[in-house]
Amino acid sequence: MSSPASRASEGARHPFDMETVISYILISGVILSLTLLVVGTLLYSLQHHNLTLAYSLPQDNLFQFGRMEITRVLRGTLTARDIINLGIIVLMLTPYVRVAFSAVAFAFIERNAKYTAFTLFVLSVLTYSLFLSF
Amino acid sequence: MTALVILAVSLVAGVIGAMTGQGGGILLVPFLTLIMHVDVKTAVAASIVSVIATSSGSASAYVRDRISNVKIGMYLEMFTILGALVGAAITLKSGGRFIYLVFGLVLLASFVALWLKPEMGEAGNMRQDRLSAFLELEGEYYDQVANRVVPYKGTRAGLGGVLMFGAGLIAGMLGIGAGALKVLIHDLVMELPPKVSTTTSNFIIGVTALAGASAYLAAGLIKPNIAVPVILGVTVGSRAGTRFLVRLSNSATRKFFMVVLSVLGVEMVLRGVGLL
Repeated sequence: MSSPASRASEGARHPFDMETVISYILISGVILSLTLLVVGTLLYSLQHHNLTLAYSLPQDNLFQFGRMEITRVLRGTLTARDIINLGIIVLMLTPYVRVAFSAVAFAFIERNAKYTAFTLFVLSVLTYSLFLSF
Repeated sequence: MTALVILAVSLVAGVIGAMTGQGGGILLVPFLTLIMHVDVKTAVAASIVSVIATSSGSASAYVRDRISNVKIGMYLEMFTILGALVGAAITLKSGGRFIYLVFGLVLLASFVALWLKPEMGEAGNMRQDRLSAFLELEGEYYDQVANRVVPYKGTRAGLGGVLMFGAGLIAGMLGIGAGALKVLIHDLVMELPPKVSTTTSNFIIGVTALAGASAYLAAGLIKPNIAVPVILGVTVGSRAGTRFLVRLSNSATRKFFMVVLSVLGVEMVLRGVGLL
């Protein structure tokens, strides 16, 4: 624990240190989302013989939109559109999951009350905004 | 065919955005509106979703290497997300011309900022006011070039927070990361080392963009035919742009980018005042 690199990462002693998990959440969310978008777009263009995605998203908030797509996944009625929509949902949920995990990490790993409160504030505002509907 | 052109345009915006460190959004919206004639609010909505992808992708590496400061990021996100929601509300309620005008002014302001190019301090700041100390705004990172750990402290947390609300507002309103603005606040107000300020800004941008994107989604402005090729193009483009970064001379990219900013800025302002 005396080399400069390890001093800079003192938190790394814990197996679930916050930075490492956050980093994995971010990169896996982005990769999963991009994969769904590419696969969905290719399927869509094969079926419709057109690269233009000629459909609209439901004018819903993310949670309603997500619930609808998950119901369709569970029913097994998955179309190219649904795969694309899931890509958008996964992308938007990536920072959200990162903040939710940070709240848990500040509370139980770092045991920092101040930052648990800050992170819960950010999480509440994001939850509110994801429930917005016009 | 349009989808492929949007993909190509977004790719170019991503490459230039990454090479200049300004992010893809600032060129993407002008490209989409001026070249592709996409409705300005639809362009802003598509751009802000793509910002989530580019910032999360690069933030992942910076957080892993412990250069981004997660605490400073979390503290400032409290302000940027509120700003982003207000900014998105302004865009949703205002007419297209107002958005063109503000966007044009932000482009011209970025031009001026690049031109003046403020001198950034290199060594870690060690002075700190009481609020910043209470907020634990400090850390250390490993500098590969100097082969040493650089400790630093952030200061002026209060003013920094208020200004970050403004940066979030611009981001939510225009669908951009507003990274340059965030870095300026980190550097000049909070006195963070340049490496920490750029990477922490990157970390904040994803969450800020999500707050804005949620409003655009609820308003039905995220259109798959625009947003999907934009997300794919900008993400691939900025990955490629980061690679180019090392090969091209800094001053050449800067000059090129300044020309692009001024041309687009003038065009957007002219649109805004109804002269184009």
